[in-house]
Amino acid sequence: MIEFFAALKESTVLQQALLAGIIASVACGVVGSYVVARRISYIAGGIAHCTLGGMGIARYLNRVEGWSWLQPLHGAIVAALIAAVIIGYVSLRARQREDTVISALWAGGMAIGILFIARTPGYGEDLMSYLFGNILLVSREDLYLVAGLDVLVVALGLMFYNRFLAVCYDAEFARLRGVRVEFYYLLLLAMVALTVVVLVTVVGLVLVIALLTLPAAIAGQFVPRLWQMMLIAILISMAATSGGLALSYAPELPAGATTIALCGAAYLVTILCKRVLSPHRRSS
Amino acid sequence: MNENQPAMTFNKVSFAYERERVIDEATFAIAHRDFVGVIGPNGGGKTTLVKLMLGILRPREGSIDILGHAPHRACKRIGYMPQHSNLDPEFPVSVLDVVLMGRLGNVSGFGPYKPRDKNAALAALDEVGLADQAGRPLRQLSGGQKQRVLIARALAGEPLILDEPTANLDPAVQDDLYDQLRELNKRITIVVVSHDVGFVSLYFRTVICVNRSVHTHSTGELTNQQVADMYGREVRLVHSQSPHKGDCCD
Repeated sequence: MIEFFAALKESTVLQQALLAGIIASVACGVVGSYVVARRISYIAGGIAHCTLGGMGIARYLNRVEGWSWLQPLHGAIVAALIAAVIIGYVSLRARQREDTVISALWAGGMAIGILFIARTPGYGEDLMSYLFGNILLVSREDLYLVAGLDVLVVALGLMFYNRFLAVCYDAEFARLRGVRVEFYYLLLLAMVALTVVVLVTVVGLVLVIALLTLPAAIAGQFVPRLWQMMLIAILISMAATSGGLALSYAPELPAGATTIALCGAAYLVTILCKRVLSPHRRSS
Repeated sequence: MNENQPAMTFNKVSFAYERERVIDEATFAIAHRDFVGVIGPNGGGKTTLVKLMLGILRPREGSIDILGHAPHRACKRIGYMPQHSNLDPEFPVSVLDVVLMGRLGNVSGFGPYKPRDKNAALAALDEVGLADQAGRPLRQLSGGQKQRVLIARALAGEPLILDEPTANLDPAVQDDLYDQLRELNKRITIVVVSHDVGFVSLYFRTVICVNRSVHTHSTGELTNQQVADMYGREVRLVHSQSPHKGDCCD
């Protein structure tokens, strides 16, 4: 830990990594709370894995076709948004096929990604950083992009808070009150997609679901309202990403995995404490 | 709103999901401040009839008029209460949050609710006797209290349409809820969907029996003795206005 703080003063790489984690935590807390409340973490998982296809194609075009302006993160954004629209459309129109479609996108997106990565010269280390994240590789451009997406997602999440709350809790009633339920549901999934991309840069796509859901789930144990969940989840997420980075630095562990291990441990401790402290109440 | 006009009229309304008709030529009118029970066997078309009232489904034939409009135009003004068992009991909302959702039709665009909406929501909570519970998490409330919260949310509109409001409630709580509805009925039109015929004679003034065909009856004046004698067999108490016998719900 002391080494980490010493290095933080010197290293801009480390400063950028810390900043990326803190910025990403804001979107993570806001959107993660919607995901937990509406119980759509499986959808978030499908979108997350789909991003590998986008990143693989973008990297291929960048390296092989010489599209130097195209970064893997751009591919991830496009793939995540396409996945969100397809899943959203299917879940609105043909409810019973939803899980099948999510599974197909989940695995299909990864397969496309792996195929393109195999056809792209270079080592597989990029693949590892997509899957499990490498926050130390976050460039200044990435940071700007992440910050931009963050502002967009958080602004939408707060601006339409009442509508999202109503659509998540009781879509049929919201529709009767004149709320355009389909629009807001698709918008919410698009925000999930952008948040997933933001978080992929921090912890990689395999670990995204944990960072998206665990802080909100922990928060939900303590506070009863959605906006309170969001605030607490943001703080927990900031603590987890910063803590993960700090703890992993000296022993040279992967920061993403350390972050998720911290989240998982915190969730476990929360549930156990709640059980012990209030044995008569049903734990949710 | 013209008090002499019916609150709702169905004119030869038919509906089919596939080929077979679920609702066949339903014709009836619901007067202002009526207390209507929609009863009938499961699968008989009760839910379909409600969805037609709400404009979620459109009739294949015939026409529906609610407060002078087609249902899909009037739906913003209707107060609808779904079964609370269809909703996530752990959802992170406070009681007031839920009731405020009833105000969504009045708020344009985005941003927070206005003080006017909060006052209206608190007044609705007061009307169902839950004013002191506004800040409580919904998940801590009992089943009966949750139903009242959903009624308060629906009070933003009229007529009030309730889908199985007493499902999964204790008998004593069911009675409380119907007493509450009777109180509200002094002011607004109420339509209750129920598979439980035990309340027919006690509370409803009009009964709509749905079993593909739709028939309307008025419940007569009843003495306590009659109620005591016939409790549990209330279907017999439905006095037929039409040639149709009151047997659709047996």
